[in-house]
This record gives sequence, C-alpha cells and structure tokens, in this order.
Amino acid sequence: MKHWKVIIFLLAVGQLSVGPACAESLLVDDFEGAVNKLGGRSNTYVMEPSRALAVRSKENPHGGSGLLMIKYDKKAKGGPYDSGGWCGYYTMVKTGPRYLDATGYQKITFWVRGAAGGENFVVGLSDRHWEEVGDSVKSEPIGKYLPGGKLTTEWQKATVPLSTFMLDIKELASVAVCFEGSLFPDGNGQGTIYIDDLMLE
Amino acid sequence: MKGFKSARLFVLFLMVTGYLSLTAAFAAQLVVDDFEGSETKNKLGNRANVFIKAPSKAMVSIREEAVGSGQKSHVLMVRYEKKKAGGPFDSGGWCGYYTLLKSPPALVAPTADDPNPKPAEEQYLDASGYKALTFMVRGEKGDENFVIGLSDRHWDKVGDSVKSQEIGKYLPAGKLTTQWQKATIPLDEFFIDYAQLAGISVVFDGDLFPDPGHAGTIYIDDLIME
Repeated sequence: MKHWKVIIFLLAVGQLSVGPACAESLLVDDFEGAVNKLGGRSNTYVMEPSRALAVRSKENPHGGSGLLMIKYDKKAKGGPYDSGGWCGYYTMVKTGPRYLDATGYQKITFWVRGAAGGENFVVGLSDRHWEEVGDSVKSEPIGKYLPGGKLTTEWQKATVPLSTFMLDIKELASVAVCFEGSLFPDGNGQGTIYIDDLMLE
Repeated sequence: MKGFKSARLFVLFLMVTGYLSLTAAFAAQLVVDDFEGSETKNKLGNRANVFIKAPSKAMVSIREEAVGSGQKSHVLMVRYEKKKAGGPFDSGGWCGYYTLLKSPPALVAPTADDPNPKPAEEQYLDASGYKALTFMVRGEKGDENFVIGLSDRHWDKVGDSVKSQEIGKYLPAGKLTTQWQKATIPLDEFFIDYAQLAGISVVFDGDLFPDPGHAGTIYIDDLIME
C-alpha cells in the first residue's frame, strides 16, 4: 500500500515538473525544416526598391544542422513616400486563427552573427491589433540586446525582453527582423546576417 | 401680380435661408471618431493607430465606460510609457496616437490607353468650416499629460505635426483628472492650412514629464470637429 503512495507521489512530482518545463522555453524555429516549428509561415517582406532574400542553409549553423541567412538591401529613396520602401523577414507564431499565448515567457532569444560585422536591424513583434494594421512594434537596434553591444562575425545570443513591446502578450501573431532606414547612416544599408534557434524563454 | 411677385420672392428667401442654415447644420459638426467601431479605423473610414519609437511604448484598446450622461459607450484607452533616454539622439524615442483625416489615394481602373494608371491623389479634409477640435477625456490617475498634434498637407509630408499647448489649458479643470471632461481646442491654436488637414494626434512629448519619463493611461471619446 505504501508502495502505491510513493508511486503516486513520484507521478505527481513528475507531472508538476513537466508543466513549468514546457513553459520555460518554446522553440519557434531552428531553421532545419521548411516551415517554423509551430507550423507557421515564414518569408521575407519587401517593398521596392528595397530588397531582401532569406534562405535556410546548412552552412555553419550555431547548433543542429540548419540556420537562416538573410541578405538585405535597404534603400533610402524611391517607393512610397520616397522613403526607399522597406524590407525584412517575418515568421508567424500564430497557428491558423489561433494566436500564441506567450504569458509564460519573458523574452525572445536567438543566436545571430553578421557576414562582415556592423550590420543592423530591429526586432518586430505583433499581436492581434498590429496584425490587423499589417505592422509590428519595433525593439531598439539589435546591439542593445547583444553581449558585444553590436553585431560581429561571431555568434552571439540576442535576448530581447518581451516587456520591450507594449503588446497583448496573450495574443502574439508574429516575430520579424526589420531593416529600417533609420538604422543606417544615410538610410541605405546592405548586408547579410545569420540567425539560429529563435525561441521564447 | 405685385403681391404674387412678393410671395415668390419670400418663398425664394425662405428657400435660400433654409438652404444656408442646412449647409451650416452639415458643417456644424463632424464626428471624426466615437470609437464604437474598430480601433484601427475612424468614423471617416481612415486609419488610426499608435506611433512608437523605442524605447518609448504605447498601445490602444477599446473599453466600455459611462461617459457624460451615464450611458455606457465604447471609448479609446491609450496606454503610454514615454522614456527620456535611449533611442535616437538619446531622447527616449517617442510615442502617441494618431487618427487620419485624409483619405488614402483611390485606385484608378486601368484602360487600354493607360494599363497601369497611377492612383488618384490623397484627399485632405477641408476643415475651414470648423472652429474647434473637441473630445471627452480622462486620466487613469489624474497625473497624465499630453499635447494635441494637428497636421496639414505640408506637415504630413514632413511626417510631423504642429503641437498644441498642454491639454490642461483646454480643460475646464485646468488639468486631467479621473473624471470625464470636455477638451475644446480652437483650431487657430495651430498655424496650418485648415483646408487641407491630414491627421490629429495625441502626443506624449518628453518635455511634459520629469526624468526618467512617465507611464500612464488616458481615455478618450467623441473626437469631433465643431
């Protein structure tokens, strides 16, 4: 009889540890498959004359066997409002009509490096409201969230607190990498960055 | 005959004065938004949203509240966190809310002669018949502050707006409180072209707050041109 009590106790403890462990981190994408780990769509977004290309590659990932390469060419002039258009990359964290409840998480993390070092971008995050608008709330330049203070050619772990964004964390729609003109000295910016292991922690 | 002519003139007079008063009635008020619909589109069918530059933050939501008469209606909630350091020029970024008075450019149907026509121009709002911008407002705690921005075609192209004085100047109590008050801002506070208005904004300017910034929540209803 005592045996059963011990087993029930162990089962209960096991069950309890599974709950928080599940909420501790959520792998959004390790870039090893064709879609992200949540089954959401990912792609570049572009408005001419700016351009971007995103490729899932197997060349020198941070971990596992895949990484994401994003090549960008942000222009300063031309396009709507003569602002040079826009470009970036997004990945949907909402699955079908269901938004992601991220209340159990504190931050977005990912590994990142530049091809030359000195590249720049901001992270965009959208909830139901911003998805309706077709835009996202932007972080500060990525350097603020890196141990080195800027992108280099070495892998660094970016940690962006969710509190950076004033959003409804219960209804997240997407995460984006945005090459905004204000990040570059004369509004023009070209470069290549590599990203791996995009997570919510 | 003379009496008939006088009667016709009198009828004509009534029609003219009636017409004039009718047009005046149309021009007397324009509801820009009563927040009964979507939080991203105003009553004119134009876009509305927050504007943000990190590290400052803002968000909007529609809430139900009793305003004025006591009957419940939907109101706009604007939550803000204005920082005074970080971001561009280490000024803390910026944040606020805008609602567009200008209509987006209409698409033009392609023809054989012009298979790729350019969209028609944006339509700015002719507000020359109005004297003031009014709305109902209250704060969550009463220590909130903001200014109103108004833009015409010129300021729209620049991507900025002309700012009013602090909101308290336009409120009966002289400041925001937790009670609803009607803000009345004369349009002549803004030195812009009223015949071509582009947008109205609620701006949480850094100058309004002490270091290191301020966080707060305000509620707005019935944004009207009168």
